[in-house]
Amino acid sequence: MISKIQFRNVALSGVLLISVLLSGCQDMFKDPMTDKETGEPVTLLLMDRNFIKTKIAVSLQDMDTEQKITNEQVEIQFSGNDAADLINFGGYKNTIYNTNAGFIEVGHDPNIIVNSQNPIELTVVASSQNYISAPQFVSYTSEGIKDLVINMYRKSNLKSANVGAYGEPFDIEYNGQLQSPNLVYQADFSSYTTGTAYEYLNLYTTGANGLLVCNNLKDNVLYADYGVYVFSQSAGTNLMPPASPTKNIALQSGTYVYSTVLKSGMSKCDNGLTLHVERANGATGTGVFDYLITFSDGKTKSGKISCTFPSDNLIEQLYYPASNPAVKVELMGDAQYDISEAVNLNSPCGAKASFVATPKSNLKTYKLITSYSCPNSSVGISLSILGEFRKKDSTDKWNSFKFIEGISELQLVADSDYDFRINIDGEYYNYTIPTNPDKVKSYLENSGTDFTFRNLSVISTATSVTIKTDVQFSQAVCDLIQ
Amino acid sequence: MKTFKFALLILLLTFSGIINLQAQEEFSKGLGLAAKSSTNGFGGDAVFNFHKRMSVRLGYEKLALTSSFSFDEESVDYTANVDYQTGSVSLLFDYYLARHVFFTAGAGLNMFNAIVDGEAESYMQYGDIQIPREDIGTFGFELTPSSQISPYAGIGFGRTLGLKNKVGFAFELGGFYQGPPEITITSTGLLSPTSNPDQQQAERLEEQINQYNIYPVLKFSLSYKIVGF
Repeated sequence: MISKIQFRNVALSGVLLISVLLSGCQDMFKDPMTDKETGEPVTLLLMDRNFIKTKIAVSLQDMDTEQKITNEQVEIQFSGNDAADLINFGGYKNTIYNTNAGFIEVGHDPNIIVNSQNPIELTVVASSQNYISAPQFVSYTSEGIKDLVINMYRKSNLKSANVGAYGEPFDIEYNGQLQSPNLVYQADFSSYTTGTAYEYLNLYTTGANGLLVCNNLKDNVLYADYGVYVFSQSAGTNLMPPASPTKNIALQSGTYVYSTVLKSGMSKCDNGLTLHVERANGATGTGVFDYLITFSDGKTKSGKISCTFPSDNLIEQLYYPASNPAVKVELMGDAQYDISEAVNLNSPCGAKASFVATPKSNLKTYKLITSYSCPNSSVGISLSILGEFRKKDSTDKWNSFKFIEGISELQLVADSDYDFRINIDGEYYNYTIPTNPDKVKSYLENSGTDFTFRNLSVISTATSVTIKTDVQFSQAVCDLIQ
Repeated sequence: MKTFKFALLILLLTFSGIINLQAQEEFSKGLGLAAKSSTNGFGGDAVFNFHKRMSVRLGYEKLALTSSFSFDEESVDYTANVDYQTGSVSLLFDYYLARHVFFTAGAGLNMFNAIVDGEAESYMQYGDIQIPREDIGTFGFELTPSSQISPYAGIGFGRTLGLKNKVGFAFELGGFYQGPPEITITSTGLLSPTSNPDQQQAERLEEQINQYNIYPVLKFSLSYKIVGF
C-alpha cells in the first residue's frame, strides 16, 4: 500500500518528469518540413540548372566605339545545320532572338552530342534599325560556354554618298554596269570575320533590283577565290558562310552585299588552340577575359573566354598562313585579375597557351552562394549563369563573371558598393550589393515585393567574405522564369 | 535551462524516494529475463534485482522499417526509399519510488539511423526539350544521432522483475538524449548542389530538426524471474 504522503510525492515526481519531458518535446510536434523562420515549405533538394551544357554568349558591340549596343532592339538570326537546336532560357527552341541589352545567352539542346564528328555549325547575323553586322559562321566541337562577339556597324556611319565598287581585287558589275549607282559602297568590312577561310573586304547596299556579277580577278596568285555574300533584312535572298561566295546573283533593292576573297596559302587548324588559365596554388574563381591572337601576316583573331579556374578553352576556326604558322597569344586582365604575359607559339594548331591569373592587389575575395526557390516548392534551383558587375554608379566597363551551381567567387574592393546584373533572354536584371559585411546584412534583410531573402549568413575573415542567402521569388516571378 | 530542470528533477525524485519509501515487503534478490517491445524496438533485458528498491538491466532492442514513397516537384516525379533503424544496447538502473513506480536512468549505445534514398523517375520537361531522368540524378539523406552514447531517463510503472511473483510486467515512459540529429547528404547529377558543402544544405536541414534531440521511448516489458536468492 502506498501511503498518502508517498502517493503525493510519487504523483509530484511523475508530474515533474512529464512536465520536463513535454516542455523539452513541445517542438517535436512542429512540422520539420515547414521552415522555422518563414513557415514556407523547406527546400529539400537543390537542382542545378546547368543541364544546358553548351551556351553561346552573344555580345553585340559597336565596331567603332567598341561599346555594347544597348537601347536598340537587335534581332539575331541563326541559320545553318544546327540552328533548330538552339533554345532560350526557358528551353524553347527558336532561331531568332531579340535583345536591347547588347547581350543574349542562347543554349543548345543538351540531348544532342557535340564533338569533332558532330560539331555545332551555325551562321549568325545581327541587324537592327540602326546597325548591321556581317554574317559569321561559327563551329564548336566541344561543349561549354562559347563567347561570341558580334561587331556591328552603325548605319549612320555608312558612306552612302559613294557609289560603285572601290578597291576590290576583282570587278563587280550590277545590272551590267561597273560603277553602278545602284550598288552603293558603304564601309570597309575587312576587320569583320566570316568564320571561314574567306575574308570580308567591303559592304555595299543595292538601290534597286538587279543582277550582280563578279569577274576579272586581278591577282590569281594572291587569291584563290572571290565573290560576294548577301543578306537581306527583309525576305530577300541570303547567301552566307560557310557556303562559298557567289559570282552571279539576282538581288532585290535594299540587300546588303559583302565582297569577299579567299587568300592563297591559308590553312585551317583542325584541332584549334587551347587557352589554359589557372590561378596560383590551384585557387578557385571565375573570370571572362578578352584574347587576341596575332598571326604572322599581321591578321588577328579576337574574342572572349569564360573561365572557371582552372580552365581550358578551345579556340576554333583558326586560319593561318601556311608558310609561317607562328602566332602570338595575349590574354587581357579584367577588374579582378592580372594575367601573365603573352605566349608565342610556333603553331596554334593543337597547341596550348597557358596563363596565370593573379588577383589584383588590394582586392578581397567575396564568395557568393545562393539558390532560389518558388512558393510551395521543396526544390531549390542553383543557377549557372553569366553575370556582370562594376562599381556602383561608375561608367567603367562591365566585368563578366559566372555563377556555377549558384556559387561565384569574386575579387572586389572592400567597403565598396557594386552593381550586378544578370541577363535572361536578352534582358538585364540589376541589383546592388555592398561589400561591407554589415551593410550586406542590412541590405539583404530588406525584401522586395518580388523576392525574399532567407537564411542569410555573412562570414567575414581578414582575407575573404562569404555571403550565403536563399532567395524566394514571388509566384509571379517564378511564372516568368520557369 | 533544460539541463537544469533535468538535474532538479533527479534531485527531487531521489529526495522524495528517500523520505517516503519505506518498503516493508519481504525481499529476495532475483535474476531474470524480460521481453520488451518499445518505440525503440523489440528485444530483451537481463534484469538483476539486487535490492528491494533497486535493479539493473542490460538490454538490447532493435527496430528496422523500410518504406517507399513518391512525390513530384518541378514537373519531375521522384521515388524514395526510407530505411529506418533504431535500437540500443543499454545499461539501466531502476530505483523504485514505490512498490510499482520506479525511476530509471542509464545510457545506451544508440543505433538510430535513418536513410532516405531517392531518384528521379521521370524526365524533366524544360520548354521544348526533355532532360533524361538519368541526368537528374539521385539523392540520399542519412540521419544519425550526434551522441551515439545516449543517456536515458524514464519513469515506469509495474516491476521490471517480479517482486514476489515469477512474472513481472512494466510500462515505461522515457527518452534517450541523442543530441540534435546529424544529416549527411549525397547527391548526383543535376541534384548535386544538394550535397555541395558550400550550399550548407545539411546544416540548414539540421536546424529544422534540432528539436528532436530526445528519442522518445514508450516501453512494455514482460519478465520472468529465473533465479531468486
